[in-house]
Amino acid sequence: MELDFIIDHKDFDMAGEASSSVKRTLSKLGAPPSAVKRTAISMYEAEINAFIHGGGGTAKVRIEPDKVEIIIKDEGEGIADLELAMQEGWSTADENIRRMGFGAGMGLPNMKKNADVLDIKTGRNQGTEVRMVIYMKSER
Amino acid sequence: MKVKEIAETMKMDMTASAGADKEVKGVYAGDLLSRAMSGCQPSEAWVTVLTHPNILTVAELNGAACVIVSDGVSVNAATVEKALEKDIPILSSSMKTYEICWRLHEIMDRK
Repeated sequence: MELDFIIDHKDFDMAGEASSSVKRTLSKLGAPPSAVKRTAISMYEAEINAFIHGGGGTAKVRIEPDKVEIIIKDEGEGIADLELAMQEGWSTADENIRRMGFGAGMGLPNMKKNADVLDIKTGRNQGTEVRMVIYMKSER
Repeated sequence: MKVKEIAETMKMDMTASAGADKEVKGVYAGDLLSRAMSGCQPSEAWVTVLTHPNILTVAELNGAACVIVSDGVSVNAATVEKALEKDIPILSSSMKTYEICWRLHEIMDRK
């Protein structure tokens, strides 16, 4: 099953809704609770990153019997220093974003903790592509 | 303990009442969305001063029992609407987060 979403950077109320939709679908399909939770967290963080930092983008989710694969792409400025961005608490979110509760600097660390596979392709002004795989049987 | 029982016992406003029959099994307190994403467990009451509609997305993703908005912060209509759609109750209180937490601890079964 493949699900496609558009992440619209102008619609703050919809931020994270693609992840909610995928979580509901996985629950209905009877996926193991651990896989559902880990997919929800990793996809939410990647979706919010594309939303806040990437100027919006697209999400493609493929659900297979043994795994979920998520690819989230944006055409934004790219991550300047990936190692720094992976540190807990490090965020480049501005004041407006922080006022809404975003910008904890936990996005990439949460993705790393919850996804079984995490591949990030990024570069200055080259956009960002995040690919994650969550295996149904893994507990992490 | 059910959300509506907590609202009654602690004299909190039932700002959004859909889902008020849900069982509350614990409490999470925090005001950063990504921290709540990893920290709030299913069936927990999430105590926060955040009132943007995104709190409902996070609450839904975590299976939270309800959101308790502390410190007398008022909840806007868009957030209430989203809560009703998602069947997640919102309680409001003028008490600060710390006070809500220790009072919840006192009234809930400790297992």
